[in-house]
Amino acid sequence: MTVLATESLEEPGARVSTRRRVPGEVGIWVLILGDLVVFTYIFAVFLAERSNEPVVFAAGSEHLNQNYGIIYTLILLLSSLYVVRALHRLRSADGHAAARNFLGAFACGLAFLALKVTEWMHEADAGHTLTSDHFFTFYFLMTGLHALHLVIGLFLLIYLAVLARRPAPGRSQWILFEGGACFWHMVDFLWMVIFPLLYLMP
Amino acid sequence: MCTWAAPACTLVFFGAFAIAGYLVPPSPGASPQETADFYANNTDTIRLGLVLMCFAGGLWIIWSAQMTNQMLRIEGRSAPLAWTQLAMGTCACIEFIMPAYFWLTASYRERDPEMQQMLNDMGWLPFDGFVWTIIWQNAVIGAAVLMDKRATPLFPRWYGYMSIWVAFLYLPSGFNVFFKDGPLAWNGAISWWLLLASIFGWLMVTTYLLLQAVARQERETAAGTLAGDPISDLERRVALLERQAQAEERVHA
Repeated sequence: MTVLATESLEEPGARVSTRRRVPGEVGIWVLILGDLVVFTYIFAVFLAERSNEPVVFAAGSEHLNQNYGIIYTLILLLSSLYVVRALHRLRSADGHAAARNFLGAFACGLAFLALKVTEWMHEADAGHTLTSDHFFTFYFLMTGLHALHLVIGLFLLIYLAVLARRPAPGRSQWILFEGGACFWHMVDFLWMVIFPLLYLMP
Repeated sequence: MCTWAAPACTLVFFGAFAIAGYLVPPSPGASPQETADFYANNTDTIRLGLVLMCFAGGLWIIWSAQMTNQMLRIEGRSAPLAWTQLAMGTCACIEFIMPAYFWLTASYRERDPEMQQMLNDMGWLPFDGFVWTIIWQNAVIGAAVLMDKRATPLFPRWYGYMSIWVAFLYLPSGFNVFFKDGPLAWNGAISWWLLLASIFGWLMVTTYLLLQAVARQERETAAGTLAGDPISDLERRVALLERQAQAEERVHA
């Protein structure tokens, strides 16, 4: 007798700890915490270089426009709020409202990116590039890597918005919703560290 | 057996680079004369080490092929990710060998210091900076792992996320052409040491999990239950349809 193996994605009660629930799934935290470790490493190298060349780093930081930095921060905080609201709407089974909130977060991210490119061009016009000095190397490296994460996040948000409009999300969709939200909060959080390091350190 | 090519590759690479004196890279800021002296004073160890290192390139393909096998068990007959992975792994082999031959050319005879410096650059920039293919190799492995529909996936899901994360770790090395000093230069903390550490760490984890996946494949083959393999599912379905068709023929006859 032949049995057709059809594996279902749903695994009710499969090794799910009842004591504590991890948002998304355990695996996504490997990516998120791993990313935070790398950025921490880059921040440490930044601080070490900064203590080697305090004058260059102070001059570079002085030159950056803090208004940009503050606007970025507000935009990203707003985007995270949208994502939180989106998950709330999902829990109350209102997929369309959730999708609208995901798109709201997407719009914030897009605004961030547009502003970032403007700032990069503004810096390049002033003669500051990746190679002009060590401060600007780090400036472009950190903001560049951060922007790359943000772009990946933008694709995720669009995908989540599409997913949210579908009826009755299953367990694997919930993993995506929560994992994607955590990823976006990580992008937001990283900026909260990059901002004071580059723009505010006296 | 093929899986062991991954740690073997690592071992040969580190050994060979230690022999050649390349493990701590020379500074991109070194003068042409310093570069020429390095090749003039260590000619034979450089030759020996780098020829040995070219072996490591081939070993990379062997474990990639084993990974392709396992990815085929996830994807089935239509397997763009598995084939992409194999192709990217193949590129990695060339990326070992080609820069090595620029360095070997520099060690081949004494030349003007400027020319030695050029050959040295031609080796180091791609050797450290050709991350564009292993990034994709890691990323498609990660994607395939996360696509696995089995109740107990071939690879744990965290490994899928880890592979994608490590792909991102390779990225800064690709920008080494902008720098002659600092963390992003070809001998820098981020560009070189982070790259080595992340490839090494990821490859060790990969080896362990790949060995487990292969062992499981052997167990399931022996038991005749390749659980959740798209290909064996298909074959079972075809066999079932054939039997049904034969039964119908008998009825009509």
